Amino acid sequence: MSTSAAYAPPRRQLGAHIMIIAALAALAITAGRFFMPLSGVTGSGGAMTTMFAELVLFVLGVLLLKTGAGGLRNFVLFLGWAGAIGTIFAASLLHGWWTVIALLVYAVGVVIETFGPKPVRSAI
Amino acid sequence: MNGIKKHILTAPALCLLAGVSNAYAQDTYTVPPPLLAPSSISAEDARIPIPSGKEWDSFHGQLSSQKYSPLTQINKDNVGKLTKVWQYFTGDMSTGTGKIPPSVWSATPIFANDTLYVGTPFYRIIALEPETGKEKWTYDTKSPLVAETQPALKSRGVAYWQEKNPQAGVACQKVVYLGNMTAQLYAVDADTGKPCEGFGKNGVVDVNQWNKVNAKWPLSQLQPPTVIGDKLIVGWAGKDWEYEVESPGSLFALNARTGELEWEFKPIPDEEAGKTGTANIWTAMSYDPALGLLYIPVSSPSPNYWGGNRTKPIPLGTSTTALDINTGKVVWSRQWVHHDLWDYDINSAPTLMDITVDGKPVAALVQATKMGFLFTVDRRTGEDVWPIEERPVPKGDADGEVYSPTQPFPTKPAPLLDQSKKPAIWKIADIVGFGQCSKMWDGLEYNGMYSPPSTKGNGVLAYPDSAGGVQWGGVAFDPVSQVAIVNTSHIVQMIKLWDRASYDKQPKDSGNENGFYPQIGAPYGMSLLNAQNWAGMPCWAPPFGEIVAINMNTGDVKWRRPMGAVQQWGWYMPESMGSPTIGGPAVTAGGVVFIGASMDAKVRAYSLDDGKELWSDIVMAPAVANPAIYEYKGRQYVAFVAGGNSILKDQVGDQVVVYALPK
Repeated sequence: MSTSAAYAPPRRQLGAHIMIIAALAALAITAGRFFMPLSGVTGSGGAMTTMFAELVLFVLGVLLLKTGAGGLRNFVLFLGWAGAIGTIFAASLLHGWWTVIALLVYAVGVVIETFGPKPVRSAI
Repeated sequence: MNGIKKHILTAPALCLLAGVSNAYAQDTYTVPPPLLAPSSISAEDARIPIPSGKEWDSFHGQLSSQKYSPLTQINKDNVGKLTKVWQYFTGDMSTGTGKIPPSVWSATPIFANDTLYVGTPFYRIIALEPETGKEKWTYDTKSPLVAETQPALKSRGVAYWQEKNPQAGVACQKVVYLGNMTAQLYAVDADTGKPCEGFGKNGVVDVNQWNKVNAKWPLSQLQPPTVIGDKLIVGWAGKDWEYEVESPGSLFALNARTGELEWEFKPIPDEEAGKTGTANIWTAMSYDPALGLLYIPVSSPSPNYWGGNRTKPIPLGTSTTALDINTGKVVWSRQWVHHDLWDYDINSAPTLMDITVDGKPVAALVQATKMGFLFTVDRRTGEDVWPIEERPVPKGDADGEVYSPTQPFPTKPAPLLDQSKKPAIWKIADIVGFGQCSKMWDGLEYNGMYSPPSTKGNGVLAYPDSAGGVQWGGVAFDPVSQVAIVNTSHIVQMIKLWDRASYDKQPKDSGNENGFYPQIGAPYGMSLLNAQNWAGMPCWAPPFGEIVAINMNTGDVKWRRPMGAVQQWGWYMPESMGSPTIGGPAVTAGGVVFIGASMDAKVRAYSLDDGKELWSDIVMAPAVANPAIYEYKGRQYVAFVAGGNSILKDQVGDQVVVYALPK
């Protein structure tokens, strides 16, 4: 029994970590505005939807940490791109400018994951 | 699905009815001539003094309804530093999801007697320290919280009166008044909040005691009385669109001390009163002390969207009418819509102003309207300042109806919105609706302004309709620069008449001025629906609302800009699209216009010079009344009530919020 894969050093997946932190930050900011009186979006369906989207963005970041190279990773990255663009748009319609900044940071994480070094497949 | 099926099934019947009703539509309406008065004094002698007070002791600040403050501490250079100094939550609000109906709160706070007074939609009076918002006293009328005549619990606040020389320690030398939905008018001592026993019965006048003709519901006291000298001028609100025959729109002058009736004015001739109703006065009024004239905005007769029961002219319906304050007799009257079939109630107090036109002084009155017209007349006589032309208008085909051949159109100022052609479709809404807006437009009749309600297709396109144009906030005026300020909505609605059999099959989920209404007794029920796609997006092109400044020397627009933003589910649309507006402006000698009114629940300050937005803040709900501006202990304050109105959106509030410059 032998392994055929060459040694690959563990990848730090900086982009995914940025995505996770940025998504949590965006979620916290939007949640604050959702619950804070007189924020302009207090208790609104739009803020709730945006929070849900930010939660999904967080999950995508976690999935990127867990998945190796391949079709699933590419699909998660696609969702990351689409989700980031859509959520930035939704947050901007909420006039949530700090949320938009957090989501732009999230987009940086997606860029890193998309164009940075790819993780290798697990050795078989 | 069920609704669609019903439409298909009834379509042939509607077509047949349309053909039949053509044969029955009458053509015998005679336009009543304006009722004018000879001028008694010169325009110079009729001049209204520029307000000098620090108070805001009536609904529109002054009885001229100028909504003008001479204060200058807050001005266009420093208004950006404005900060919230206090806020007070009354607790009197309801979303309508429980047992209590939803609340609509359109009160302007009243500053008098060194106190800020508000009346709530739960019919409580609250007296607050003007500097801190600390509660001085409250008075609960213990009114039933039942929306008897309206789709919501409503209040536009309180009125204030005081003796010429009030004696300290004597009760009810200063009085605050609040009415309620069930037609009770309460008077309490302004210092203590205790009922004035000498007013009516133990401090309450039952206005419904004078509801003797066609009475079907109470004469709701939602607008505070207009206080003129020792008189309270009291109109009422009713149940629009419910019946063909309703209470005729009497106006009452009551003694401010005792509540006794001094005179009654009837806009509908006695011989017609049994066949129709309303033409009531449900909003604020104006007064010129030099002329002794009370100016009343009169609403439309019932039913609001069919007039076959009132084929003879009712000359004072949908008019601005000047009454002698001592007798209640008509001095002059101008009817702004002949044989009103659109519910174009005259809905705001006319603004009295002294202007110079072509080098001559003019004692003017400007009447804003739901139609988006600003009619300008000489307030002494009712004569035109700029020509008001009678122009031919379209006719319709409703059964038993008559149609006025002409309607009045002002030549200046220009209409606040272009009603001359069918509004353009908003392409984004049409795309999102998969062509829904285009199909809707194809099914809507429109032959220009005053296209009458129709039984055909989707009905008639109304632009604007009941929601305005201009609402009860009216026109503000800076007497120094002679610039008028007004906010306007651009809303497209669809009016359709339904024969009785078809109407009975329709869903009746009516909202606030949006839905199906029976007009019981008339051959037609009616529907009034906003022209929106499935997602609730307006089908017409923006802007949806604007704020406009008019040079009243020339009648020309000085500047105009979209105002506010549409907000749906928390999401703001771009401010370049503007927002429908309810509420109105106030203007200061500091060159600042303050206004709430927009759907996005923000209050704003604009430069009077150029319309630039200088400041804004988020409040609890749309501020759908005019702000109040006052000075206390040398500091200038701007007060808003953020109460919301379901015509704009389902967001309610109970916030009184006051701003000032930092110390």
